[in-house]
This record gives sequence, C-alpha cells and structure tokens, in this order.
Amino acid sequence: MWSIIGHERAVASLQSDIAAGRAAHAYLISGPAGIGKGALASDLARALNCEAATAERPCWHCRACERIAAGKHADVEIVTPRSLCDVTEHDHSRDSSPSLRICQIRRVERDVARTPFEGRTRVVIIDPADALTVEAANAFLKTLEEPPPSSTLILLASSPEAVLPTVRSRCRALTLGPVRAAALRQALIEAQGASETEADRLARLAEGRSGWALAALADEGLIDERLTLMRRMEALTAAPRDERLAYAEEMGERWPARRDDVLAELAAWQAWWRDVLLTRVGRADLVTHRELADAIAIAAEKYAPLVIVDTLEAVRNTVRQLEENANARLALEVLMLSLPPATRPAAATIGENK
Amino acid sequence: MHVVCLQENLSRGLGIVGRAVATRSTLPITSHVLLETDGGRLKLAATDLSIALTCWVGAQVEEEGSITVPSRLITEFVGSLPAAPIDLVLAPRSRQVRLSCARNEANMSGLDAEDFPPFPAVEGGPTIELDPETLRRAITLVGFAAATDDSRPVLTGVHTLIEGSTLTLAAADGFRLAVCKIELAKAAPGRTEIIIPARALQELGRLLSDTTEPVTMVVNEAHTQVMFRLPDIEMKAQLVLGTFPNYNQLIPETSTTRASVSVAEFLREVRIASIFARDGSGIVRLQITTGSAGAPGRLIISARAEEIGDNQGEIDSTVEGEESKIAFNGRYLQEVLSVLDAGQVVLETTGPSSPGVLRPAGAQGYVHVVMPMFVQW
Repeated sequence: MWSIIGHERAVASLQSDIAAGRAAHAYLISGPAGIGKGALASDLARALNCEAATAERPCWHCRACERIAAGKHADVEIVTPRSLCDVTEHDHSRDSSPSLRICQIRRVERDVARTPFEGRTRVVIIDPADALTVEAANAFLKTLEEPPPSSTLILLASSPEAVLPTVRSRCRALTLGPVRAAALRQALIEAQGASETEADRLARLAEGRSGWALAALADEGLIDERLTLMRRMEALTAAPRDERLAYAEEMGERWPARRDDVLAELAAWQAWWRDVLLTRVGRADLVTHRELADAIAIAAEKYAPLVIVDTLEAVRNTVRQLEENANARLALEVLMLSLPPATRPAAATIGENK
Repeated sequence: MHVVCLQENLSRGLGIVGRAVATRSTLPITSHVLLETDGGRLKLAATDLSIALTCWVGAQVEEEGSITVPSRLITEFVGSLPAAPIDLVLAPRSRQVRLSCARNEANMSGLDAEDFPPFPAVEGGPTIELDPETLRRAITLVGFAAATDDSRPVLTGVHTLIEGSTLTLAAADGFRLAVCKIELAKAAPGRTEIIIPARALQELGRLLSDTTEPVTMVVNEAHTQVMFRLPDIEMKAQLVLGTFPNYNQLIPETSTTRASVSVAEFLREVRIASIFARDGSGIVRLQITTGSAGAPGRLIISARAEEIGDNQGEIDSTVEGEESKIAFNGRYLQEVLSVLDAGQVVLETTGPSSPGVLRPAGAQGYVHVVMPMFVQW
C-alpha cells in the first residue's frame, strides 16, 4: 500500500516501474512544499526494499518497511544540508548553511559504491536538490548518470527548474501537482481519523498540499496563523501609502534571511485576491478561506474584476522577480504602489497626491 | 540479561569489534556495540555498514538477553578495570546496563538491540579455506597499493579472483599495481571475481596475526558480500561494485634490463634520496650500469632539488641486459620495498618511459608495477 495521498499518476508509474523491474536509477520528484514529495520518496524507498510479494510492496509491516518508517534502515538515507560529510573538521549540523555541499555529495558517492547492507536497494534521498551548490551538482553528475546497479537516487525539488539542466536530464522526472480536495478529505477521514467537518475545512484550506493538511491536523495553530496573515493583507489594502511602503521595507529586510516567510506572505496575498475575485464574479462557493467570507465580500464589492486580475498579476510578477534575485525591497515597493487604492474612489489614479 | 565474564576476555573482544565501529555515521546506533548472549557465550558485534565484526567471548550466561551500548564508553571502561570477573546485568525491559567488577560499578544507557542493523547471512557462494599466514602476507604485499581517494571507487578495493586452486589479489591506484597469487590447498569450482574494500582486508590482516588455524572465506550468492571466519571471530564486508581494470595487460612481459639488488640496501638508498626528493615532486632517479670484467654492475640512486641540493648513492647489483635510466616517485618505491620479505629484488625496466617491474627474488607469485616519472636527464 502506497501511503501517499493523491498523486495517483506518479504512484502508478512507479508501481509499473517496480513491477517490471526497471526502476530508474535516479528520480527527480518536484512540487511545492507540503505536496508530498518526501512521503512519495519514502514510499518508493519502502517499495524498493520491502520483503513482501511484488504486488503488495510496500507492505508496511515487514522488518524492512518498519525500519525505513522509523528511520533506522541502514540502506536508506536522507541527505539534507545538515547531513554528515567525510571531512572531520566540518560540522554541518551546526554551521547553519542552507546549501548541500560538495563534501556531502562526495560522501554520498562513496556510500552508493558499496552494496546494500541489509536491504536490496540503497536509496539516497536528496532533500532538497534545490540546495545543491553548483560545484556539488557538478560533482554529482557522474554518479547520477550511472549509479552502481543496486542504488537508487531520489532528488526532491521545488520545481524541475530548481536544479541544473544537467542534473534534470539525468533523472526520471515526476512532477507533483496539487492533490484534489476530495481525495485529501477522504484520506484525512480514513487514514487520520479526522471528523468530517475538520476534514472538509482542512482539505479546503490545504490548497492541494497534503503535507500542510496533515501538519494543520496536528497543530491547530497553523490555520490561525494563516488567517492572521490574510487579515493583515486585508488591512494593508486599506492602509495609506506610507504604511504600505513601511511594510515593503520590513519584508525587504526579512528577505535575505527568511525567504520562505516572505514567499508565504505573498502566497497569502495571492490566495486573498483569488478569493476576492471568485466572490466578485459570483462563485463564492469556490472560496478557500470561508472563515473570512465577510471581509472578502466587502473587498469584492469595492473592486472591478479587471482591477483584481491586475493585482493578482502584480503579485505573481513580484514572486517571479524575487526568485530571479531582484532587489527585494524595490520589487515589494513596486507591488505596494500598484495595489488598488482602497480608500479612494476607483477613479483616482496613483500618483495624484493632492 | 545477566552474564559473567573475565575482564581480559571482554576487553580483548571489545578491542576486536571496536575496529568496525563507525566514527561518523548517519545512523547513531552504529557507534554502539551489540552485546548478546549466544549459546553459552557472549556475542559482541559492531559495524560501520561497510564492514561488520562479530566476536564471541567465553562467559557464564545466567540469563539470556541483548542490548547495545556506546562502544567508546564500554571499551574504555572495561579496558581500565582490574583483571577480575565482570558481572553484566540488564534488568528486563530496561536499557540500563550495570557492570560490576571488583569494587567498581557502572551504569550505561544503551539502545534496543532490535534497532541494530541486522547482519546479513553470507552463504551460498564459493567457499575456500586459507592459511592465515599466507593470507596475511598477501594482504601486506597488496593492500597498500589500493587508492585511498574515492574518485574511482573500484580502485579503493582489492580485486580478488578465485580460479581453480589459485587465489589472486590485485590492487592498483593508477600509478602502481601489486598482484599476489596464493595457492589453495583445495581447488574451488568455477571462477569468482570480487572487489573487497582494501580497508576490510587490512583489518582482516590485523586479526590474522593472532591465529594459526585455517581461515574460511565465503562469498554470498549475489556476490555482494564476503565473510571471513576465524576462530571466535567473523568479519563481513560489503563488496565494492564495478568493474576492475584488466590489469594483466599492464604487466610488461619482456624487459631489456634486469637488475638484482638487496632489498635492504635499495630501501636505504631510496630513503636517503627521498630526503632530497621531497622538494622536487618526489622524483628519485635510478641508473643501472652493467658491470665489466672484475667490477660488478651498479644501481645508482639519486635525487636533486633546485636550490636545495642533491644526493647520489650506489649499491652493487647483478645486471642482465642493457644499461638504463628511469625515474620513480620515491614514496612508491619506499612503500613496496618496505613490505617485501625477500632478501633480493629484481628490478626490470625497458627504457625510461616504460613501467618498472619489481619481483622479489625466489618468491613466485608476487609482482609490483610502478609507472615511471618523466624527467630531463
């Protein structure tokens, strides 16, 4: 039983690979955070080492499956920027570097050259492959192209473009998209024992990310955090320009150290405007954040659909610019200035400062 | 679990398996040693997932059980105790081991033995018996030539070929090659070719010096693991995957010069030359001159470094063939000469750009090839 929620196509293709005994030597699993990349990789590691009959792999109760689930299997290893390398002086668990470096990749190469210790296949999961430095990625190419026969490498990445083309072309690509809300809802009820109302709410708010839904199920605070973020977005659209620019400055300062935070805020922006647009065009039933329905309805009243579309576009451009290493503060200031002026009549244009 | 054993036995056992304990590992339990009752003995086991060592220690087993404890902690503790019986107690469903010996008592926190990586059973493949001294000698003669950097993993291993009644060990690092053949008492069926990590063989060599009984070597069916069984000790090693270069074609079949010299004298002169060669890429130059009536042939060993100085030494030699000149990395010559156990060695060359071959005189079955260095004479 594959434990992953959704992603039927990816699972089917992996299952047929394994059944036919022609699993690829390297996989590149890509998709946004929380979508289930790690869970899929872990399922694959189990399927490759499970002791049950081929059709039943992974069985979840043989010794190999249990040891992999507990992180104790000697042949399955997850390599992160915190992982060990062979250089005695390096201590990556403490050096707070966000990169996966050449010394860590060299250790992986030495590792995969050996035959598996207790299982059938040595599985190395690179999480995330986005973090590979150019030197590390280049050093990895030879092994990626032709790892020893009993090894399988699994690279996890936020998107296929997040890794070098030379790395990408050496792997079989599996791109994970959002999981359908219905599938997510069902899994939350059946596998996690969530109540129907809870499952409904989580499946709706998860935006197709099963990992987020599972985390929110365990930690109620995540939903509140998200709604707080959205309320802040709402307040900003009503705020005068100097406040918005102060916000841009604050975000700009956070960018270098805490990229993920800033991107999460921008994602909340997008989610907010999406809900506003849906309400404006009369599809309030598709709104994600129903908890904020009243505020969304008020905002929807205020703006013409095209203004909302332009704003969504502007947020998306800003995300792209940030990812392309534009000056963060500048990009965010431009975004703040291109927001519709909430407190003024729709006819007034930005720049008229009377 | 309750076991009583002698301090010296336990300490010796821990010292043996301690060689396989991982120092830096992704799996924390591999820095532990497994203690388990096995029949009437105490079994100790450790692994770094590359080699796995098991050792049985005589003990009086009062109650069966198993646990893992941090290797360094228990090894240092037991090693420091006086020679007296040690009482080892693990309360049921606990992970605290209590060791008492003479007037010392210690408690150690361990981990569940269940979580220790299961050692695979190595069976089903070819099995041969080896004389420990012959094997130890072969490992000494070959092991040092394996590569130590991981850029080509196959070269970090020793190519092991079992064919008929001959076992051939070969190691190479791209600049030199060592090949040693051992005659087996009993022929093995078929032909088996595996690459054993050089480190595993070196650890084995260390264990072999303490035994006189035949050693059993077993390869598993899939040819991914090898096991060596000694009295009360088992060593398993994960084999290196890949194809070892075909080294037979690298050994020159003919030579134009053959100089026979004393190993001790040659080693001494190479050491002296290396002092000067240190600053000049380690280049040690050899000149072989044929003798004339009454005067023996000579081997002249020299080295020079710009702005430092130079050195020249010579030794007597029985020379056949032409005069010749060749240069080698001094380190490679020193390493091979210091493991040779023969009195005389024959150096074979065919000009300054062909590999040099060293064969110990009188001892069949060993050959060492060193690539020359190109120098301006």
